Amino acid sequence: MVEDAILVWRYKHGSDDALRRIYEKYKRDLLTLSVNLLADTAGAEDIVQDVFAGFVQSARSFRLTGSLKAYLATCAANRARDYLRKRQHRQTVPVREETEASESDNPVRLVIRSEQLRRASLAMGRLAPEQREAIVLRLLGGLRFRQIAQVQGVSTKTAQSRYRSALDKLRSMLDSEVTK
Amino acid sequence: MTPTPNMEKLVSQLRYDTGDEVYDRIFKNVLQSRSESEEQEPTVRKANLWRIIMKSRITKLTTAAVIIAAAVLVIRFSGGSVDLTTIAFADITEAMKNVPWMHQTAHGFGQASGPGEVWVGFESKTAAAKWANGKANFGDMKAHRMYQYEPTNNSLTIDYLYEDDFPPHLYSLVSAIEGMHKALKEQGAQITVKSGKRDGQPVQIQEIVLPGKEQDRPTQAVTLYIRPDSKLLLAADARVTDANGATITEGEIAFSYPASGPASIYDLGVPTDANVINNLPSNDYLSTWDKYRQCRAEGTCEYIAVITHADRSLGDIVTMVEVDYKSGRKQRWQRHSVFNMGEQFDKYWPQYKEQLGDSFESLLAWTIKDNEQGKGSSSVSIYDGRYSRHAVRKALGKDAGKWKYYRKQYSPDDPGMPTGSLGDLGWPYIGADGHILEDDFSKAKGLICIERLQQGSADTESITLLPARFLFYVDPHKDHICTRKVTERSADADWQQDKNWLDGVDSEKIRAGSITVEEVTEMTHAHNGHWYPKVIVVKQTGIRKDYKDAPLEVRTTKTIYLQTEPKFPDGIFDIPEPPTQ
Repeated sequence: MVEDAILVWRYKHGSDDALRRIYEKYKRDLLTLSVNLLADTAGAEDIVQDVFAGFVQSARSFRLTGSLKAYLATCAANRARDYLRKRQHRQTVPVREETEASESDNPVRLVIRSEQLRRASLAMGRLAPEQREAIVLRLLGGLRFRQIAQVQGVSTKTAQSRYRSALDKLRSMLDSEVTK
Repeated sequence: MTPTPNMEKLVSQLRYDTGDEVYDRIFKNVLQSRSESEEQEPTVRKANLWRIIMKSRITKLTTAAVIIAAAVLVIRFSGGSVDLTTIAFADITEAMKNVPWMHQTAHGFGQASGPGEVWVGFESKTAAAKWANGKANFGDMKAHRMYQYEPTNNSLTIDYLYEDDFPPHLYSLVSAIEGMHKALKEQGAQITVKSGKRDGQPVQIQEIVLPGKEQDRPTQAVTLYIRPDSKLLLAADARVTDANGATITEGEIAFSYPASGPASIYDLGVPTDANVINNLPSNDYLSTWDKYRQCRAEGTCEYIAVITHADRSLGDIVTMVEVDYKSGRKQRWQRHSVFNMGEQFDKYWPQYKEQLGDSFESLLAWTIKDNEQGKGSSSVSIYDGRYSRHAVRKALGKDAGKWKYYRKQYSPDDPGMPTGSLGDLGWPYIGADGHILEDDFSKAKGLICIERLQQGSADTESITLLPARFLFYVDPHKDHICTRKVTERSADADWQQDKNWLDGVDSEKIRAGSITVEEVTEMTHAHNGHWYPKVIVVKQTGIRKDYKDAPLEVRTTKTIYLQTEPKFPDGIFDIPEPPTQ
């Protein structure tokens, strides 16, 4: 946290090296968040780029009051929602059903490749977007329920409920795959 | 029923990664987009003393560069456009026009090396610095030599000095003044002129203040002391303060104008028995490298190139079209996404294929139309020889389909174009630190193979740069075109000099290696007599532990449609102004 605050301060005072360090530190987290939020590898690059571009453009007025990772995760969620809305609006490419199957063609890949994770990845794609968002922000973005509620514009209870429902749905889809 | 914690653990493992190329591309785009913030707050970055200093490549030349740059900037500040003082500045400019040497003694500026002396030879194209801690540097641009003395081990390192390390504005105080004059036009610096004394001598005092803004921009103040008789700059004080008035950094520089300066590093007191570490490239390599750069320069003077990018994973459909216009120093580069965000490739490709056609004319016409009427992602960079501007059209967000203009930049030395131009495709950057080697491929094909090695670097958190090995296969019979470029990245590279470079780095964050091969499979002999790449196939192994044995898979095919006797559309290199709101 302190390191992030220093990096942000340095960047605001003109250090390109600080920006590079912030990017190196969080680029993989952002990519992971984006792929999971979209339930698709396509578009994830755009989200990562948009989030960092937004960060550099607002850096001068930016005040780091909490975790930088949570801030970036929130930005990713907002952009992913825009992206999904646009995609839905245009009624075009559906959420890719076979994320893993497309890996040989796509440079974005699961770090750990297993059948269980492949199925989990596909199951994530079948969740309602707001449920997926809740679970991704909580487990991969490290946000608290209060923060997720703010992102989604709902009460904390609703955010918790979406999170629990998402886990239940995933569990039911993967019931036989997850070992105790 | 499975307990929730296991499900949470499973989701937490859904982590994704991609290749360095993708991350690098994203970061480059982010850096480009940063200009957008400059658009909104135009005075911040350009005027930032320390940003300009740090941005300058002269920092490679010598640690003294900070002081040199500061001094130059001080002089540049004197090119402010306030009418009241224009005559006074013109006097300084005139007085300094024929100065062969400038000598500076600098104190402050937070230099760990202590106070130092700096000489800049404008005619001899040399710069030298000597520091209180014993370090010394000498750069000779005419001989392309950079000497650095390290007193702790009595070593003298000699490196090749690039032209870029010694920017043209250092050769001429007049051009320096002109440069800052342009940059400061929009700055709103406050300038006052008065008479006074320094060290008992009458001087003209010019106080230049660039006020800070809230918490984010420090106040920068420079005071110039000018000899009223000769109009030469006698001294300068610089001070940077934060919003609370606290000093961030400060220093002072005294100037003198000797008839001559040091002719070598030894004139700075470096012992003649210092151990010489020679990092200079061989003469064979330098002559090949010079020829390579000459071919690039000569072959890329005047043309329009349309470059299509076909994605193998999507069945070789064209997903991106770039256009590169070049006329002398002027250049315009455009990138167009063929598909709009979210469009299904299979469904729309037949329609786009027909629109694009497969000729130079049809493709160029498509890009012009897309520029004017398109809604998808696109970007344009224009350089008119002095100024540059970048603009993007976003496909996402509330401003989707609208052009966003970045700040117009005064950049007489650097067009600031994105990589991917015809020059980059035919003659990618190599650098002076390569060397020639002979391998089976180069022997069989009659090519020159140039190897360039890059060291990896890491901090305690992560790897910032993987070690890389680049092989450039240059065809000496066809304008030294690089017909094949091989890039190997590997964490455990045997060329990595520091074998402990990964100490402290989380092993899970250390990625496997990869190989990328960019191969020119077809060439064009154009009407202007030069050779150019026509088709370039990019193959990759992907990031994997067994990358050395892994098959190369075709990822992208770039096809270049070229016109070397172009008729440029009217105003194609004009810097556009954003529409008024």
